[in-house]
Amino acid sequence: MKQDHTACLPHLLALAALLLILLGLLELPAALLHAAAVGLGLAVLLLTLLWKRHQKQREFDFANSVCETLDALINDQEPENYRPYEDSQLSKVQGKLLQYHDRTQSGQRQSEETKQTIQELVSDISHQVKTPIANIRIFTDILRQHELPEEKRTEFLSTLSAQVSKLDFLMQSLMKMSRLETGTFVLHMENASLYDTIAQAVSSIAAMADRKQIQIDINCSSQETIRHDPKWTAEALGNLLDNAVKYTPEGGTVYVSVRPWQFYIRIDITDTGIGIPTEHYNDVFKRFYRTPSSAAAEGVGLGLYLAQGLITRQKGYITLTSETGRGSTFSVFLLR
Amino acid sequence: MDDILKTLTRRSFAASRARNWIAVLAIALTAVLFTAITTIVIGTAESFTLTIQMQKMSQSDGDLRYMTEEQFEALHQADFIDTAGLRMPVAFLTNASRHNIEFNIEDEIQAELTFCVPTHGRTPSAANEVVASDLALRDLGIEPEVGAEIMIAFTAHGQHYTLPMIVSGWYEALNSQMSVLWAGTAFREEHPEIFRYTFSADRELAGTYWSDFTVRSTLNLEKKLRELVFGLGGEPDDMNAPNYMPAVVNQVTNTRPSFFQITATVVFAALFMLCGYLLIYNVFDIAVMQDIRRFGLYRTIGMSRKQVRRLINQQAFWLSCIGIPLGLLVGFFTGKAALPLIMNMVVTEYRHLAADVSPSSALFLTAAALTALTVFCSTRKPIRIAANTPPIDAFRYVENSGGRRASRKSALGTSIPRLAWSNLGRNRQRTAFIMLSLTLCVVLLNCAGTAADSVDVEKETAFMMRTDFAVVNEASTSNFKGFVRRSDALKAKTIADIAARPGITDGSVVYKNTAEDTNVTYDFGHSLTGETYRNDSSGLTFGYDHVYNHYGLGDDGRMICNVYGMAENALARMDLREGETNPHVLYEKMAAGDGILVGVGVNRRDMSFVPMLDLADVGQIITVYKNGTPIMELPILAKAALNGDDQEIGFTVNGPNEIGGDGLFLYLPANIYEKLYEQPTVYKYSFNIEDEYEAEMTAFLEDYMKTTDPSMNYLSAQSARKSSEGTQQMIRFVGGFVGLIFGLAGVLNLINTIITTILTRRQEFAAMESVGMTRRQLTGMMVWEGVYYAAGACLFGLVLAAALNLTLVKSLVDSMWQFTFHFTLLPALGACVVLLLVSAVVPILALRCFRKGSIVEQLRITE
Amino acid sequence: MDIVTVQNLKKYFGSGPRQVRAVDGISLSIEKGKLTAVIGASGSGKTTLLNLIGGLYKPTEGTVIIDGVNLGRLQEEELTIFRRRKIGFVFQDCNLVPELTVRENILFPLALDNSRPDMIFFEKLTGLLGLQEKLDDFPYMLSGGGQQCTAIARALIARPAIILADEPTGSFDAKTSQNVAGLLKMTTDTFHQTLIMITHNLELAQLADYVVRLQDGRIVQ
Repeated sequence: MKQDHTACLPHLLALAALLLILLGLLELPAALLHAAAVGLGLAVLLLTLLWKRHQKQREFDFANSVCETLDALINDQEPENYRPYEDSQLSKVQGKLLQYHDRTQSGQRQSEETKQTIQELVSDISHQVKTPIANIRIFTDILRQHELPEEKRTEFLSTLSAQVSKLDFLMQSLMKMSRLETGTFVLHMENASLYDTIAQAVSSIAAMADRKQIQIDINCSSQETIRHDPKWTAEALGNLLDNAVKYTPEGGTVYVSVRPWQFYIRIDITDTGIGIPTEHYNDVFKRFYRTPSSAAAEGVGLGLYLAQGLITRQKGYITLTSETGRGSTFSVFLLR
Repeated sequence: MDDILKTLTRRSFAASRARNWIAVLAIALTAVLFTAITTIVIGTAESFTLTIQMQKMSQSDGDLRYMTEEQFEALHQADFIDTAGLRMPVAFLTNASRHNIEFNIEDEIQAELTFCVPTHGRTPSAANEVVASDLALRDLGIEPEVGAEIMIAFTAHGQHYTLPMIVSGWYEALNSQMSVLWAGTAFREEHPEIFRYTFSADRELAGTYWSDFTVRSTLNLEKKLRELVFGLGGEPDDMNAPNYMPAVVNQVTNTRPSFFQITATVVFAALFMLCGYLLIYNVFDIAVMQDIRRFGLYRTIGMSRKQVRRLINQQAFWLSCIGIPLGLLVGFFTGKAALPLIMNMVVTEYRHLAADVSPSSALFLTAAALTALTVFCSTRKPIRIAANTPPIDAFRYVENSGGRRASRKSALGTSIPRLAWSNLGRNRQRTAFIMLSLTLCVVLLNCAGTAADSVDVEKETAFMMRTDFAVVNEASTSNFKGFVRRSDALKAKTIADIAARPGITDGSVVYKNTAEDTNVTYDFGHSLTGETYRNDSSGLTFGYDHVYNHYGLGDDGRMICNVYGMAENALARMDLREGETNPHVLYEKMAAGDGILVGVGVNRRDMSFVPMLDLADVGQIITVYKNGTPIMELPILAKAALNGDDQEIGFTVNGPNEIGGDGLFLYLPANIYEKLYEQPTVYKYSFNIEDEYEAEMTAFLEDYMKTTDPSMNYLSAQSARKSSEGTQQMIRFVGGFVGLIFGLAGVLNLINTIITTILTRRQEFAAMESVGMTRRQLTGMMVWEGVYYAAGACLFGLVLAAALNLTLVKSLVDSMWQFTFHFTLLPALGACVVLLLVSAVVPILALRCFRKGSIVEQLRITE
Repeated sequence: MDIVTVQNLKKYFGSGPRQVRAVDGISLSIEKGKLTAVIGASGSGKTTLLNLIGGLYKPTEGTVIIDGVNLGRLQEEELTIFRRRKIGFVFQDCNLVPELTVRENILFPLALDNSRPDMIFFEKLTGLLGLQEKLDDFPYMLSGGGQQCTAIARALIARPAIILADEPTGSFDAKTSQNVAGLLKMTTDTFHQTLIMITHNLELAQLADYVVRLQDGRIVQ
């Protein structure tokens, strides 16, 4: 081992010093002492020179090894001389280089992934858009080709406009999603009242709740201001509330409670709906996923996905606990 | 990285203070041991050397004599000479009465080397200034005082001088017979005629240069000196050569330690190292065990073995940094305090006994190095354990159970002592260590006790003294001189002064022949080889017989023997063995000139005659010659066994050795002796004293010796007893000290183990408490554990002590005459009682400390 | 891209009839940058698996390859160095060094490797975990959650290849548990770290990208 030579040096010096002291102690004649001192001096000089050379050589070797690693990385090859388990400077530097290389590679990989995501998105979008467009085409065709009674016409037209607004909703969701997915989405983090954000979210679904005669119960101390993006947080919470209202039967209640924790603010949105089985916990947040039991309700399966994306971007997270038939609780954790 | 290890080390000091104190204490204790022994060894050697140097009146490495000025100057060029003093002897003063005063020109180096630097006043600078000893000044008739005027008279180059001088300073004489009066070089400039060099022609000392010197290295000194002498154009051997220049190495300064000293030192060092090892190993073992989980964490996170080792090494290093200096200090002062005690045992009967030691770097370095070595050795294994335990195992580490643990459930069903018993085997090694150190403590204490008890004070005292007091000339009590010349006589005035004191009974003077009494010789048919040699100090010629006994010879070539003359009461005290054993009858016969009493040296162990010295039989005729003609024929009437008192005094036999040698010891009645010898010389006055006057007499003699007759010295039965008891004390002290150390080590280990037990079994204790064991019962259990350790050690210790007593100690003791083997187990029993008590108290104290919560708190932090 | 590949991994303790097959033939690969949760009843071999991946146990059979290095080929000391650089540990009970401050604790693995810390990363990390104000405190001055945050930061500071967390929230109440798990996920996400986490809390398992369910030393679906 190369290292050991240098490690030896202080030991040698100490030994020499010890010898000198011993000589002194033995009170050897002065002449011998002088000779010993001169010898020692020479030995030290020689050792120093050797050591210097050795150091130079080591520097040289080190630089070469680093260059080799760099060459390998430039050529997109695995570096051969990398030992991540060696207690050496070289191994440390190589580790850092590889890490850096990995980072740049991962950027590249990410852009490829983005490309693929966009592709998938396009196919998803085309799939989702297909039905309403087909519907619209059918209805416009019917309207155009057949003379229909006013009553029927009005009915078809309203269906048509419903399809258009669905399309519009879909398009908006898709746009949000695409921005989320491709990362072209900017958060405006600011210190704002969480109460206001929640109020905004609730107002977006107030009408629907009213319709279903669902009571929304909010428990929030109004002083709570945290660093978050009010617009997108309201959007995410709105999605969750929308989801809650959607799956809660008429006359039910949706509870919203805010609890400040040590690191997070926890916002629980509890419904008294149909609930989600445990095995689907991880799935409900997936894109376009709809549980079999929710097939009846309208929706595209993007709300939860979007909500999670928006919260995660803010370094928060959403968890879910549920009991089938009794209701579910979505917990939003926002970093304080 | 080193930084983080250092931070860890530093912070962990604060965190586990209790443990670290124990570690520091252990290291300090080891350092104390080593420092104490080093101090004592170096101190004894130093003091011994200094004492002898004082008697020889030189602490130089050697001296050169009879040099010319050029040679003296050239001497300084020699590379091995460190410092060289200047001494130009002028002459002995002729106006001194009894004290021999040598008049020299000296420089300060020389004065320093020969102990005559003025303690009062200053060194001479003007030509008429001198420095002298108090005794010299008194002899010259003035009280020692700076500025006093004296007259000095001497002869040099055949010319008489009488000069008035002024005392510029004085010092206390070390020798009652002789001292130096010296002037500075200004005196030489003033009287150049005295310092003409004529030595090669007429052997005149005045004008020669002498020098006491010190050297840089004593290696091959003799050879180098001879080369130097030759190089200066001198002749070191031939006394008659004109360029005679003897070079003498001071053997006193350059003594080599004896084999015994080296062995004793090595044995003690080894013993202390073992003790230190036992202690320090245990401390670190426990520390590592307590921290093993933490090392597991470190290793998991990525600390390499090397780093773990470095971490503990660093801890050991810092602990040593505190412990060693502490121990060095304490040890040095312990050693210093013990030194006079030990010197008293080693060296008997010295005046001007110098028992002191100065702190030297060699001393501290040696002790520190030895301690460091011990720390290094004892931390190796704990470090290996810490570094080599696989991380995950260390993480889950619990002290391995002994395997024969009583089931926990039935714990409360069994008795507390049983429960404690079942805990003992948890860590075999640690148990063994505690037992070993405690056992060693018991055994060593007992061995020392037995040896001390076996010192036969009566026997030794009886050998040294037959009366309550014996007064002699100081020469007799010196190991280097002895009663040799008539001038060594006890002064008549001193005898008269003492005899006038109240309470004296059986007072008697003893005559002895001297080196000057060579005209009286004896013949008892013992033949010599004819080979002879000259004894330099007595000036007598000695002959040999076939077994190389040597005999002082008289003018006619016959033996002069050691002849004593005494009164009947003195003779009656002797140990008559063969022939006429009734002292009165014997004395009557001898006083009538009908015979003689012969003394024979004895084997001190059984007080039997030494066959080699038993040269004549009862009834054999001894012919007495005076000036070569036979004048008496004395048959041997009786033989007596001799002790030290009969030969000279105490243990010193230098006098007889220098006069008669191994020749017969002859005892004559005073009247016959006075008839035989022209100038009967009194060498001793011995007497008994009534008890109530004993203290008064001692005080009187002490005072008399100081103020009136400094040449006198005395030995009393009391002081003889004291010196014998001194031996006893030393054995007790040394043995007790070592035993105590081991006891301390054992107790420290015990404390350590008990604390560890408490730490490691916290949960267990909590569990026990939760099922209803009270604090009291818990304490009881720990006390029982401690007591078991102590009891086991006591049992082993007693058995081992008894066995060792009857074998090793007995054989050792039997080989020395001052001892009479005496079996005892009392010291061991005493030690056992103390150990049992301590072992019962320690757990109580330890648990109490814990209850205070301080350690518990720290525990929480360290967890 | 797989950062961890485990093939037919077995670890048996003891021998004979009392032999315990803690891990009995597990093969899996873990994608870089993802969170894998290992769930299962106690005694199902979760911790053993984690220790095998962390190089703390030598497998009875099978291979563990982390970031291209076969752990079976490494010596004890090499494993130590490897762990120091490539693996971050988060334990159930924090296991901070009590004598070191929060800052020193976090930088400990780097200090052991004789490396100077990347201060920008350090500040980002401690900022994220809310430790900026507590850097000079000692662990005992922190709450349980704060201590675990320190442990998380310590695990991440060397930018290891994988983070192994053995029930990182096991000793906390539900609230702290949620907090800590969230932070753990958030930090690993932020710095694109691969995390393998043992948990018996299904609520936390839903944070994972993949869930591995163990039973009697084998993977069940």
